[in-house]
Amino acid sequence: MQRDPSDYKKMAHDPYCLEERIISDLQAVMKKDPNLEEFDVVPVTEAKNRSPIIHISHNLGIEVWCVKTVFMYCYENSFKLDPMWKKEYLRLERYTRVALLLNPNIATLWNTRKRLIANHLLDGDCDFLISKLVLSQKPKCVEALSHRRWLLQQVSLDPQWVETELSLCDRLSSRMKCNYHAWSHRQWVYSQSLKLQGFNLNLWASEFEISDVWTKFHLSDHSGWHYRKFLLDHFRQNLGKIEQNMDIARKVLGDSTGTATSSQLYMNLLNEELQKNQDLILSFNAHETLWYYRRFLLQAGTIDHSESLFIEKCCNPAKSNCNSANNVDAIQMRYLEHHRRWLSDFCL
Amino acid sequence: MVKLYSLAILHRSEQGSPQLLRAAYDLSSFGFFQRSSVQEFMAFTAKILTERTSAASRQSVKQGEYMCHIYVRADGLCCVLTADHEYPQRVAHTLLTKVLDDFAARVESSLWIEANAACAAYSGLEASLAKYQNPREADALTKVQDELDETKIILHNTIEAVLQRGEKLDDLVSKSQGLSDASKMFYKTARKTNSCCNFG
Amino acid sequence: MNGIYWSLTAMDLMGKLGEMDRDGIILFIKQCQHENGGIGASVDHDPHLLYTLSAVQILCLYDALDAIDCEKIVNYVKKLQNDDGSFCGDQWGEVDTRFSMCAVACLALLGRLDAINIDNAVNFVISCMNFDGGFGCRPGSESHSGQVYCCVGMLSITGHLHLIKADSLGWWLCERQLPSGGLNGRPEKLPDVCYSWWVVASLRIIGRVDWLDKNQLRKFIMACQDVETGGFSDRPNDMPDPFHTLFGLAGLSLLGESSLKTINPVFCMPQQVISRLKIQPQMLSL
Repeated sequence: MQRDPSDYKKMAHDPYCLEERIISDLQAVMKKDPNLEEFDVVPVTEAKNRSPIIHISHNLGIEVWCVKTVFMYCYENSFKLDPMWKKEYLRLERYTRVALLLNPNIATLWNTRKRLIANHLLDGDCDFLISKLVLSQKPKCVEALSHRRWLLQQVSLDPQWVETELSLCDRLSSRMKCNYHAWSHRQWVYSQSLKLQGFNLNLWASEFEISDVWTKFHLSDHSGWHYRKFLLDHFRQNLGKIEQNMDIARKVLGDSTGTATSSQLYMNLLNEELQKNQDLILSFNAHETLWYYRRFLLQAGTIDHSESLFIEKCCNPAKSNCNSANNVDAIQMRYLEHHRRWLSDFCL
Repeated sequence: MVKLYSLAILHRSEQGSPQLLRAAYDLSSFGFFQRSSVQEFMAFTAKILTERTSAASRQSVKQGEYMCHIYVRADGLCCVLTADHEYPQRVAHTLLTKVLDDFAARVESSLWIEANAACAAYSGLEASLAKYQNPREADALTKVQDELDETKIILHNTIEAVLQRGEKLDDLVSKSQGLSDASKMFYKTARKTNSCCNFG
Repeated sequence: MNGIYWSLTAMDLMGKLGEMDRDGIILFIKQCQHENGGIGASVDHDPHLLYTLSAVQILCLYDALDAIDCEKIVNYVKKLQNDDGSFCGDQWGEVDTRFSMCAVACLALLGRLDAINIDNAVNFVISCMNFDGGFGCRPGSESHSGQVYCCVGMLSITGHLHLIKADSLGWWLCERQLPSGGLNGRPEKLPDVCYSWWVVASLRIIGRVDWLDKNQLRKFIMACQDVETGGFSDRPNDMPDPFHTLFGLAGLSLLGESSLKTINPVFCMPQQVISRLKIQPQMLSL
């Protein structure tokens, strides 16, 4: 399927060449089904006598045999066309779109699309779909996430945008463990929404709840735990604003006394977290993430003399009521050692 | 992550290769177009491991990001669980015992044959797979783990370590009849691209 | 562009820089420079700080800074600084502490640190410091060894290492070492050869490299060398590539490997190049 590079020039305007037909098929699916969920390259051993574009229940596939040729064709053309000349932007849109689906790490091609959008030659909807499809295949793709952040600051936003972005983040962080870029994006979305709409305790509470469930099922994902720290820090930084809305605060945080101040609510949160953390450390052996989260809680204000009792309990699990901790292994001992060292440094 | 991907029940008779009686999968965390290959690989790995585990013994084998737990009973009935590394190992083995006990109680041993209707009708695997995804349910299992027989669990760091001398995983893959051409190709591409670190 | 930098630095560490096509590479860099001064990943690709730094590093290796318009580069970098001191990677506005490092490293190599507002730049980096002593990509982001290296390097170049919580950070970095001897970038991740650079260089800059088990780390790095091609991979038995080859060699050099040139922990370039440019980044000692 390899072609001589000089052929590309000749083919560039042949709307019936193989590459153009494949691109059109792909574009047709994207147009027909704006609710596409995933994109992937599908391994098949040989080309069959049919289109290599596959569309099954909102998923878009392209057979592997044509990927290299189609990509090279789109890539070369993307650099050859000038958007401002004779409305070549329509073709430029077409080529950059497919080139990016097949290789999303080329920042310049994302930039080309940004220029088209900035010059009102293209609206942003299609780029939300392209970047979503790219991320379904490459959940860590930083260029695609960065493009979305740019879009979210340029185009007029759908009222559901926060929800849409957060659920995208959910998918990316579940698909790939410790997905730094997905969690950074989530923090950015959360912060951006506050920037636009002001502090929102309901959003905070819903994120805190989601993160509670998420961390329980992804114990060893440090990024997930970090997000929880980020939320707790954010609560602390907004104690003043929370104090103004104590009726909502008490409701979302389930304070039964009805008299707690925002700082007391914060301390309650930390203490609840510390208790849950203790249970997890005792039930699930040797997770460094749990120890790091514990350090955060301790330095945030819950440190007291009982910490040495807890360490003792971990070393001697007979005292714990949970059987699964009964093989305290070398790794857990290492984490305990690290924890002791951290405590002594911290308390100094 | 604490996650279970598949549970498979196999039977190994004196002669012939192990037969896959029934399997259940949760592949929702894999890409849509990868699921069929992933499923074939899990079944393939289950067979390879069953062939290489002696009767009345247990193994846990690391395979990249996954962990295969395997238990072969003295009567040749066998269960393979694919999970992630976080799923507590002793819980996994307790689950294997429980699954096989339940299966043996419901399907009589004369029917332990590949593609048998009675095996296909057994629906306990899906239920177990769903139920024990929840680490708290798994926790409840630990209460019975004292009953776990004293069989030592043999740990292997790679699937290669389980293979016999001179055997190579690449060869087994290319010879396998259970894997489609597309899955073999998928395997080769996965081998070539290390999950890399573009600084993140 | 990054690929050229990784390969050339690796060759230079082994004393083999002369085997590469100097003129061709310099011409390529010239072709990648844009009117605004920035340099792209390749010809016709948009300029970005990441590639601008790589290009400047390559020209320094070759002692050929006069081959391009350096004043334009200085202007390009200067314009990417924001009011809060942070840097955008390019005109499209993405902010990251990596770009703060790219900006100051680039200007330091060009001898033009005076072109930007250093105090603001430092304040932004410090605002990305977490309670564990580590740094992330933006304020409040998770600590990550790669970002730690960028921030520590940035503070070293600008002479503000006293703002670091050196003991906390030092232990956090040491805890990245796993029983296999290898280092990971964040808690509960797999070890990777590139962290032998990010982590060890950071520890060296803050004067705490002796807290690691250096022998074990050395063994891990050596196990990542591919017997057929000689290149290094992220972990033993994976496919080697130029990125991991440079950081494997650079890590070994930091650990005192005598068959390699000494590397500068801040710039990831041979010390003799940094000395020739008369740059002395700040280092802490215990």
